[in-house]
Amino acid sequence: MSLLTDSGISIDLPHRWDGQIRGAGRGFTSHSATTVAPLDATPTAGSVLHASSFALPAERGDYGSGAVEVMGGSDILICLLEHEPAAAATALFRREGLPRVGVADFSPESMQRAMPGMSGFQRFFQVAGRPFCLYVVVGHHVTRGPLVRSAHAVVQTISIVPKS
Amino acid sequence: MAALVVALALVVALLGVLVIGLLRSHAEILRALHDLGVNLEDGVAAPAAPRRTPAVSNRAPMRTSEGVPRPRDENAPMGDAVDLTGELPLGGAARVAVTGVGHATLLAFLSSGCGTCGVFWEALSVPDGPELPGPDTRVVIVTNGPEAESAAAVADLAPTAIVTIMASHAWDDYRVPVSPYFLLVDGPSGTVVGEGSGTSWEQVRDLLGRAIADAGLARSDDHSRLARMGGQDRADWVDSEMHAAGIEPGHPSLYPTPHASHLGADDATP
Repeated sequence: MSLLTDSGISIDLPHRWDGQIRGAGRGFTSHSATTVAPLDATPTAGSVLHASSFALPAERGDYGSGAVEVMGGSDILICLLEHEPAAAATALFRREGLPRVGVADFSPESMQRAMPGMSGFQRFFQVAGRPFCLYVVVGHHVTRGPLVRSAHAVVQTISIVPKS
Repeated sequence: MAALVVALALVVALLGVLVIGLLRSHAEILRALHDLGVNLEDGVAAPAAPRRTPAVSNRAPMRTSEGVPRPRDENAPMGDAVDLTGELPLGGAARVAVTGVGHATLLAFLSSGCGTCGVFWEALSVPDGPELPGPDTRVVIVTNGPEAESAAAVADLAPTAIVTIMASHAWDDYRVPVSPYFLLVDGPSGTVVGEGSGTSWEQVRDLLGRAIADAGLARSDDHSRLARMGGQDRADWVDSEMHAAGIEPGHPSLYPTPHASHLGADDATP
């Protein structure tokens, strides 16, 4: 395991995993709206964390466009995106604390951009007033059980520090 | 007459000593040749004798062009690779796994200030990506950390399609002697299989290409083409492949129904 920390977010990455955390307002390289879902066309206002069981491409959107295209059937992509602080007061982010990543919660319809065979998971929550979206993609929906359990184990290592 | 006989005897004695010395020298030469695997006595090459000092290096002898620094001690083994952890030029933290992964990783140790590095920053920034020394190879640029490099300068130089990480300790971990410097890591074995420097991308690519061939790492080119593509190129490629197969947005095959056997206990939360 290898601890990656920035912007008050940390994650313990397993061996063979890539990870990146970028601070507020930077986001990751986005792609044209012709192939990327609208949410991915605009960089997220807050910090963004990407963790993957495969080599993270340098060019990718906040929601993983550019990365999901190179995922294999046994790969996992975890995206944690922080939203504007004001969003924490909305109903969408009412849930407090990191969500559990369950097998039944994954669905191809939850993908930001439908990819054959893949499955996605998306939840909104907040930690001490910091609103986040957790988006997880596994490479194969039908055999997602072990992949989801691995993703859940990695998500549980995420630690978020309240902003002062 | 007696003096003549004595003088003649002395000459013969001296010649004898000289002949004995020549024979001894000849024998030493033959012995040395025999140790090197050459046997002149029966006209057949003898099998090579075991080396008295075992070879330590697993690299080919290396020479460098004028202006290109030599790598570290040729007899030092290249050793194990380590994963990279550092900062991103635009801010943030990154970890790049190079050991235990299924592909090779070419680590390009560059600086924003060195003149020769400019050639490589440019070569790695070409729109379709550089031609790599082997199939299925990922390129990662490593600069010194923000305490030794201008993050803004590195951000300006960093190719958009290649992960660039700022990590001074990586230079120490890999004992990088100078910049530019390149190391090729074999992912599955987690070892460095080639390293060196040069004045052009072509030199470095050829050097490391030979290292890949020597290490037997050549793989199918099909996957490498996809790996070399930028994110947008990959997306376009996937779209075109699906379109060619008659799969458009909303196609039922994009939303498969899980098999009943996968909906049982697995669907409980872990």
